Amino acid sequence: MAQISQKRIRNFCIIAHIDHGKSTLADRLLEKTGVMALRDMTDQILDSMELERERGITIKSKAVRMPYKAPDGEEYELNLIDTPGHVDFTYEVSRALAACEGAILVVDASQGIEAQTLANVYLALDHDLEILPVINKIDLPSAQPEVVKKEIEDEIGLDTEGCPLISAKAGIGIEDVLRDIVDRVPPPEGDPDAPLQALIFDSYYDNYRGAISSVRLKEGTVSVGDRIRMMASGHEFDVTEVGAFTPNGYYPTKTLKAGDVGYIAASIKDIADIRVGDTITNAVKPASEPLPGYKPVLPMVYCGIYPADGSDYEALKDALERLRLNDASLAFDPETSVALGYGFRCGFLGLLHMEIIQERLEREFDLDLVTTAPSVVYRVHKTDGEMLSIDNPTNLPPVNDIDFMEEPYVDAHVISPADYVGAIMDLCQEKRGTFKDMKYIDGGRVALSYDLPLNEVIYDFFDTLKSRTRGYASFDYELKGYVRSDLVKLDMLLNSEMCDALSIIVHKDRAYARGRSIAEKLKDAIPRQLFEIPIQAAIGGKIIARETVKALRKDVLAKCYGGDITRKKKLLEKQKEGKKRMRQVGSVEVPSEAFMAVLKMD
Amino acid sequence: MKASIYVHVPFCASKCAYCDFESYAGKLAYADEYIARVLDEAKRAKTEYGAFGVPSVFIGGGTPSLLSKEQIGRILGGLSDLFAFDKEIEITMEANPGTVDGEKLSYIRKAGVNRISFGAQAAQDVILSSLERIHKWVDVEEAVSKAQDAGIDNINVDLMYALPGQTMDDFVSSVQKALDLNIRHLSMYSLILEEGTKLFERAERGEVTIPGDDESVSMQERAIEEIEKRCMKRYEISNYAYPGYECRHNIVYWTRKNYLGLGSGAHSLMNEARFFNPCFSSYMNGEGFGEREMISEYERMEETIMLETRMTRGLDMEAFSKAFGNERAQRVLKEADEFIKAGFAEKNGSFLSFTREGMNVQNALIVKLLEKL
Repeated sequence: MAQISQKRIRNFCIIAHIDHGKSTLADRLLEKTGVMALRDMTDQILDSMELERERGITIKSKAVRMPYKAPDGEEYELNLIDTPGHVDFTYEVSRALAACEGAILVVDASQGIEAQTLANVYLALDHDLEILPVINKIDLPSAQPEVVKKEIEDEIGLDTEGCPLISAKAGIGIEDVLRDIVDRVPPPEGDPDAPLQALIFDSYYDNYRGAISSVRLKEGTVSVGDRIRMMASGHEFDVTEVGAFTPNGYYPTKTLKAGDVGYIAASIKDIADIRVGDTITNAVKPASEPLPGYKPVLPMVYCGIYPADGSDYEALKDALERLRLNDASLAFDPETSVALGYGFRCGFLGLLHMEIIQERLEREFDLDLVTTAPSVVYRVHKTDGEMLSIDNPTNLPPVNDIDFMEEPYVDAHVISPADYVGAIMDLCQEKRGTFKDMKYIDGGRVALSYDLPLNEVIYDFFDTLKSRTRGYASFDYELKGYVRSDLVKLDMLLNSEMCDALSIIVHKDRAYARGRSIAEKLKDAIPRQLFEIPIQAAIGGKIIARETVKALRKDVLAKCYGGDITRKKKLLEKQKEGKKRMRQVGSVEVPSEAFMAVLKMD
Repeated sequence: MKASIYVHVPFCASKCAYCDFESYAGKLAYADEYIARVLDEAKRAKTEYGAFGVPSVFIGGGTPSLLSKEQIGRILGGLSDLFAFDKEIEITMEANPGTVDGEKLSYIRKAGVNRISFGAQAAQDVILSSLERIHKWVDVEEAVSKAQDAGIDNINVDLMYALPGQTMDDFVSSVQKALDLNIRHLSMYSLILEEGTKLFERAERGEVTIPGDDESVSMQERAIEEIEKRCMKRYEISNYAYPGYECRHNIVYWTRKNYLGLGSGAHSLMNEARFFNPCFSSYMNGEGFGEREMISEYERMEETIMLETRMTRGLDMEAFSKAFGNERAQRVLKEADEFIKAGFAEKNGSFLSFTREGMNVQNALIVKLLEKL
């Protein structure tokens, strides 16, 4: 890859609603430009995380350089920055967009514009990107490209005249997309001789190279051997390597110039030294101002994460730090629980984000976790006028000190085939939702808008919605604001002892049902023990539900046959091992799984 | 030195539905060769341990009673030539009702067998056939009476409970009918579904339902009432006997005395080393004999607690303190105080024993004890 003049560089990303074919289009572009030979391709190259491929979603943004020889005979350098599609990862999208001049907007030819399509378009417009609409999946029988084109023109106001009609899966129309990128995405601007300003839009940890920054050079040039400075921290490092990412890995070059997208390695040991959103400059010839960073995002959902085996606390801490390196939206602070010991209160952008982080901790770091029920951030107004933000039910002040409480509400959008409108309305009603609007879109689909309390959304809303609509409904939400609400703290008592890790904050009207349902689930999750265990749900001192785990009646091996005691010894070892996964709550042994069972839907 | 001897006979007429023991149908033709191997093994043991004294012999299986009377005689003759049988030796043979007749019983009585354990399992033929046993209840009655006629009065009957399709009445009636046979010893085992057995697969497929733990315990409790009416006493979790007829061989296992296991799959504990033999085909080829595992002090303590608390006599705390230290003994007793308060245990002199309630949850109790050690 030779150095290419700035005017032949195109930095772009692909934005789409989840499942509209973004990753498949990325694959085709890589294939067409010859970066990946066909035989090397597994599906969805950019989704290299095991989790991403399994779930068919993109979590992290990635940058890949593709050399491209256009039909006019000119060589271009195309930098594709892949972005996540889900609402929880808006922050990541916004980071990726700051590194681009253009965005390909992929819209499904049968599904049309979805909530997330719009959200991403607005983000792209905020960053002054040139938006190139592309209609995908035109080979499907249900494709209605003309309807979708009109929708794009009407709802977004983009010109769809001559926009590529493609099938990324079948490889139709990919050349048109490449042509559009070359013709319509503006080349980057910036002066290679100006003081260096490189925006960090992502970071990774490499065992050999140390912490690595993914950067977009806005101004100046950076070369191996340069002394660089992180403008936020002021820390300085010597550049050991610069280059571009290819699907095959690092591709070192001598320099990166204004307009380039690539990486900088500088033997940075401490991952905290690289802050996504920070600007890298040259220590000898520094820029006077950092680039505008990203506005920090506030977590919306919190939960406690504890190691199933207490001795893994340090490993969990290390893993969370590693994940935060390239996921600045992950927040965590140490906390302790009487039942669970030492762990972390972790904040997430949404439920999917929470699930993804939990799964990554378990898979990539091989940790066994205990997770507490997710909570939103409540505002507690005390009688003395103080206002507290509470993300852990345990920290709720005594009832007498509380004047009133507020809970976050979201603007929720559900799009579904019209057949399920009744079911969806029932569900939103059950979840304390307020109906706002209903629109028929096309092809028998309906868009519903509701105001919903976030704490209902994070419980089991999504799973229930999917099951009641046979998976057809899609769901999106954004934070709307705080609303005064009649909330109570629901505690669970095991053998009359309160278990802090099981407390939740719920609306008063829902407390009875939730209390009963949690008690039932705990009854199934807690094994019978030597004595009878009452399980009670309580609000303040008042018991609202009770279940009982009956005393163990039989736990004995009938026979030690012919003097063979190995079987009995093995059983004993297994029981001793099982005890390690138990948490002691007063006199009751509670398996780690029981804390999770509480989160499961009915 | 002394050591009891267990001889494993892995031959069966057919495999029962619940059985995962070392046993094979259709291999009886190898019996002569197999017995020769067993006696070779005994000779090797003599070379290693000398001609030790033998308080008890147990010929188990499989179905030892499938062997011919001469074959059984050859085993016992061979062993008594090699080792010093105690004068009051207990020699037990397991038998399947329907595989013995008067002649065989008289012969083996003369060869030294003075205790027979019949695998009766249940008094209902429909249950027996669902377990794929080869006998009917009438065979049990006949076999017991023939054994008594042959002069063997120390007779045990094995029964099973928590069987598929078995009602409380079925089991109580099995116990009553067994006790009516004027036997000296009764063993009652609750069914354990073992992976790989036919019954396990049937249960997995939902073709049979097995009574749950609560039902199983109730069955046992009712049976104990019947047994106690006849003045028979429980002396171990699954074993009941008239005074003086407790199985001495089994007590050797539970008190961790020496025992030498001969034959395929047999387990031994000799001078604090545990080892076991390979399964049939390797055994016949003379391969795969296990390494001796020396038992650490801690394991010995675990085993002591685990085995002695199986007996109604209980854990001998004086001996425990001598063997494993007073500090550990105190910790056991401290935890046991909780058990005693909860009605799971009792203290009789130096012995800590589990009550009927305690025995039902023996595993949970010993895990709690071991946590403190």
